[in-house]
Amino acid sequence: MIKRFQLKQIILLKFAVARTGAGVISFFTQIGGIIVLLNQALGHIFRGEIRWKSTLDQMFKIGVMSLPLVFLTSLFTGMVLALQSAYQLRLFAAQQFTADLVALSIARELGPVLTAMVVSGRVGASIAAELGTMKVTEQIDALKSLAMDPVEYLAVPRFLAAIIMLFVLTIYADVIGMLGGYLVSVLKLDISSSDYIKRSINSLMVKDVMTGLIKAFCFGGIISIVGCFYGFNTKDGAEGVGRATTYAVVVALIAVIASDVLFTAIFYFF
Amino acid sequence: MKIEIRDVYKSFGSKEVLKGVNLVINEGETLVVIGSSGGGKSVLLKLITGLIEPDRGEILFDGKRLSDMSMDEAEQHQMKFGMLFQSAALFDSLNVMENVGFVLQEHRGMKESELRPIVREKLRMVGLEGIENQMPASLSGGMKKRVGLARAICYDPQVIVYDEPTTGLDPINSDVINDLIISMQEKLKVTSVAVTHDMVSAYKVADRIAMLYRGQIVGIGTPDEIQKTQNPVIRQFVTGSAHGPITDEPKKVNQNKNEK
Repeated sequence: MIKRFQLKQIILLKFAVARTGAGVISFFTQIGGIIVLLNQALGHIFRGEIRWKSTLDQMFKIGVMSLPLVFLTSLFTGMVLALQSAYQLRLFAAQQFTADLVALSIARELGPVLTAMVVSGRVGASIAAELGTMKVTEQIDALKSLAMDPVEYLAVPRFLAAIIMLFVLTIYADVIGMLGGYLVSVLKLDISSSDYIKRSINSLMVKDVMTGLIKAFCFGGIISIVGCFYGFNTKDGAEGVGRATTYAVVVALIAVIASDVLFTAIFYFF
Repeated sequence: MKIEIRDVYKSFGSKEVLKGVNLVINEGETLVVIGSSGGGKSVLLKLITGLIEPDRGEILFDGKRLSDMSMDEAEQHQMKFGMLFQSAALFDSLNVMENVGFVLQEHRGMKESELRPIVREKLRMVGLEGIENQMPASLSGGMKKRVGLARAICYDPQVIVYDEPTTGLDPINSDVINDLIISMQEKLKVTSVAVTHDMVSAYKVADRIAMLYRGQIVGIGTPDEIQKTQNPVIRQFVTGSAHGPITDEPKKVNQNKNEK
């Protein structure tokens, strides 16, 4: 006969298995939903169903409005990177390599990833909150009732604008990041200006810049589609909008970092 | 357009909202569906307008199923419906003219100059003038509903559906909306379906009233028949009494649960 404490353990185990199962199902349902939305958006783009006016509006909101934030983040990152690497390189009397290190780190990794993180927080959240509010105030249903596909009308312009503008913002972040490194190196580390610029240019190959920009392109897609997905699936009023916004930022950040690992591995081996 | 709803079921997760709804909406009539809040009335409207699909059963539009239509036919079919949402659901980022003329601009490619006179006429029909350039945020609740109605009639639909048209409005604005529902039916000769729990509105605008209770239609009749009905569920609802089968049955279920 099963004793009382054994029964309690069985119930707890059953509960734990049920919770884990529900979590796994929810995870794959969400991944599936995001992929379906991406597929729908790409379908509209390949059929040429693009609203350019709306896309340009979104490019302004996503790209131009993010410039100050990306400027500050990149400038400070470039400065810190130069200081930290010079601190280590000085031990080997190799301070002149600061320029190489800053240029390569920013172009290959920090430029695209930091820009994507900043944009995730600012744009991913704003997309999820805007579409989420439209969902709970029945505006998405109103679009459908007026025979308008919400994916074409709302998601495609945001998706296109995000991939284009992440690309542009990353180039901007690369330049500003290197400028940050340059300012610290020339003003504080006594590296000559011409030497720093020459080393930066020589150290960078087209492949380094391109790998960073390919990443940026994909990160833009991830941030916008994740934001749109959680926006479209918002439920339960204002609380739901808050939840959708949080999910959009958290999932986009994790997806950006995870895909960064994947891309870096691919670029390393091929 | 005649709409036949046959044995329709709809669930959301484990919650069964509609459990075998049977209803016929005749061409040119105004049918009002009454029922408690959260009882599936809005779900029924969304099924009728094709915004969601039933889990089981079928809905026939002039004898045709939505699933039998091609993509183009389905899009044209959608344009036969105009819907006034509970919250009006005006697009925040567009002004009144762009909201009302949305379909004409997006689907028929009309320019602003062509659009303006049509939008003005539709706004006049709902009793509004000179607000074309205002944003929805600057409008009162009653005005939003009227703009929502102007948007719903802008492309001359055959069916207008109203989701809680008077909810959240003061009695005078509610009556304005009721008059508009009647005048839309008279002027445009449309089939109208409204869901509400406002009995004053239901008696005023309806040709027939149907009661949705526990996911099924429990009674249907003219406003007169509904007022005189002996069905205890409908009686309790239309008289607005706190005592009766609608409120007693959940108590009994809870009591049984506690006894177990």
